[in-house]
Amino acid sequence: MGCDGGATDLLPRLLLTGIAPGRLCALWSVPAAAWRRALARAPRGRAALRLYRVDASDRNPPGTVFFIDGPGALRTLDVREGVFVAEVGVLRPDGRMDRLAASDPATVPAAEESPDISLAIVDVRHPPQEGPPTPLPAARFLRLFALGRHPQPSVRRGPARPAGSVPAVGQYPEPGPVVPQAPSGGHETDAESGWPLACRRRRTGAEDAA
Amino acid sequence: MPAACLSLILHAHLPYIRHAGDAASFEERWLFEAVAQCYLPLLRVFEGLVRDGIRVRIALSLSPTLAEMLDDPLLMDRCAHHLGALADLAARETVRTRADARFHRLALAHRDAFAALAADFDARGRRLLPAFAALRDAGLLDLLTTAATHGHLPLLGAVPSAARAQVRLGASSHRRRFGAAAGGFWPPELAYRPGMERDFAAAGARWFCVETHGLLRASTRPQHGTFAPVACPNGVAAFARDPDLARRVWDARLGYPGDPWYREYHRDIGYELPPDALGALAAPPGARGPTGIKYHRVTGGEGDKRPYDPSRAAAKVGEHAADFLRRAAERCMAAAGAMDRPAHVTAPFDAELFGHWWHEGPAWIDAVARLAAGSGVVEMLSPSDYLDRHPRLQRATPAESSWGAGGGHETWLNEATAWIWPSLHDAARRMERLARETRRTTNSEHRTPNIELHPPDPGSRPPLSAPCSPLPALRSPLPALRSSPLALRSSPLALRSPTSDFRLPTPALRLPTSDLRPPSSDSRLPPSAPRPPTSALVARAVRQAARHLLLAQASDWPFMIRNGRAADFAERMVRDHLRCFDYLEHAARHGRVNARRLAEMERACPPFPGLDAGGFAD
Repeated sequence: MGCDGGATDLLPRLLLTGIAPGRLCALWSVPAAAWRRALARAPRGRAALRLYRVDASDRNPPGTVFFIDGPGALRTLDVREGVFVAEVGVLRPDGRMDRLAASDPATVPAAEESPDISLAIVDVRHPPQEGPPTPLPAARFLRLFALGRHPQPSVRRGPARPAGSVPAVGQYPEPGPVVPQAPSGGHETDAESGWPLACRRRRTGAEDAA
Repeated sequence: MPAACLSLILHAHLPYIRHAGDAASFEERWLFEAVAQCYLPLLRVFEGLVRDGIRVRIALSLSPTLAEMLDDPLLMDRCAHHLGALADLAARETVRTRADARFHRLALAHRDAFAALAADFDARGRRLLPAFAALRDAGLLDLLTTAATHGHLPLLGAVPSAARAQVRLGASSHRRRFGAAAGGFWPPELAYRPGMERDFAAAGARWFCVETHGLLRASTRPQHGTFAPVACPNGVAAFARDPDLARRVWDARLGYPGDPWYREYHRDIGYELPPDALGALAAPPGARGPTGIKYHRVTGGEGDKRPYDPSRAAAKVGEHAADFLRRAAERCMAAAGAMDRPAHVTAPFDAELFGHWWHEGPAWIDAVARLAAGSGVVEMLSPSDYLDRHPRLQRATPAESSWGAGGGHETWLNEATAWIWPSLHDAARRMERLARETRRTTNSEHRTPNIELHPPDPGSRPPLSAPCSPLPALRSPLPALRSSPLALRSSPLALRSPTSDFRLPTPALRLPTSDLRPPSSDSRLPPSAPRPPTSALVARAVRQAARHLLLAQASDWPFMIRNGRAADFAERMVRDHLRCFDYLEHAARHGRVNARRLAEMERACPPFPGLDAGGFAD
């Protein structure tokens, strides 16, 4: 039988899963060679995990950056209820990320009773036909996230770029001589810091000039 | 009309462990202990209820891995040997304890009990599954099923086909074995994630169990709390564990099993006598393990344990059964004012708790059933019965939950077990691709898809004492699945309490290596050996790869690693099964399957003979 694909365990992987009420678990595994190449492409960058909540009303949900140490590890994240996605890669000083792996959406388990007390009845003898699954609130965001193998999303607000114009990982020009000032971990709550600009407010003059 | 409806749901499960060598492995004793202390005693209780016309219904989940082991002639012969050795040891104990009347009386009771168990086991033809099926046919048991190898479905669900295959194969295994679909589904570890109910429905299940907070935090607030099931949008019902009744049995402080008059689990002659005195039941050098011969009662928190007094323990059984039913009735009656139907409480437990960990557990179930049947207040029925009577349920989707520590999945995904999951996910993706390729190949050859995946001829089961190990012919220094000198203090039978919360130091994330590759040709086959058609060989290799992947996915391994109990054995099981999978997947992908090696692997690891590897392709 012809099955010529390479072993998938050589691909970078990022698993994001809700493991308890208020807790997410990110588990990533990046091949050492890919890890080294990514770091070499951005010598001023830092390895990071960026987390986005995608079920908020914002079209550009705020991101949160967590710096990480190695190509494979587990990180438990305290978050509130919601639906999240994450990416792992090398964060450049200008806030852009060379993404190595992206996760599927993960839901944080509920921590309290639902406020919804509406009463609908299902007769289990004649269950209703189920329609197609309801799209996630931030379906547009997720589609962008799923473009290509490891797409780099647009970093500016406005209409989404056509898929073909999305630059590949590592094709960004090296930033100027600036001091990395990416934020430390923790939710960014400022409305100005929209997706995917986790570091937007901290961009340097060098990038603004560019 | 009764004031309360009680569903007692027992979940019987052990991980699949089968040493293919000449002798039983130490870890296989977990099964033998469970047979002797739990499954046989429970069967006798159930048969007594039927014989006496006690009108109750009990739901029982028999995991496919447990069913495979209970139906494995090699393992059941070893189990009979174990029971015989136990009866011999108990007989010797009557001599050793002659000087002390308190212990001598107990030794006599042990001798008689184990001799009766051994005789009972032989009288049943060393097969327990037909007895469970007969109890279902008699109307006592409502049999349900669970995932094929007890995979943790939400964590496996990162590769949806992996979780679906677990559910699908679990259901098909149950149908094949018991001749009918299971009405309910037990999510392993009660681990649930919204959306899984679709897989349960596809497998034919009408209901499943969830942990309490899974229902209380449902998408819509449950109108009756845990006193009535809810229906997911697709019509599959979710029954939530009643927290108070669960505490009465599970809780280390409040639970009945901790009563000072009950038999102490941890005082066992297996830990106390020199190995020479234990004969065939001595653990491997460097290890100690229980035998089931115990002379002491719980007594109290500290200090010496006192001799066990069976008559006082029996009296306590009656008290605790009455207390359990009284609490169930009180809780239901308190809720009844706000309900338009009898309140329902669900009491799901690991079956191995009863008899193995809690010696008096089977007698307690017997007393609960008899008291309930005569009470006119509490009716013991299965969730299927409740749905037949009350099919209109509130619509709500339970929240993600499990019965593990913290209510989530951290017991199975944590620093100590993180290395497992990427490996399982990658293997599952490769299995999915392999199953698709196999299907495509067989279709292109104008053959019926999965043509090699029908149940084999019963005669093709491995011989009773096949001297084989998972990879006996490999030159690679693979550790075989044989016993190691593990310093076990107890078996996983006693360790699946959902409340345990023990942390291990964090190891570095590491993945198993895929260092096994098949040879470039089938050079080990003698020239004259008949060669099966390549496509048939590949299909067998795919099926065997699926077996090893499924067995690596068992939730037992990360649980044991997390809790530091037989952790090195559990780690070895994951690695060995994944290595076998790697080998087979690579060989099948490249069409270079060594027939002899494959046959050896099939003999060593033969569960799920009717496995449809196509279940991974969708």
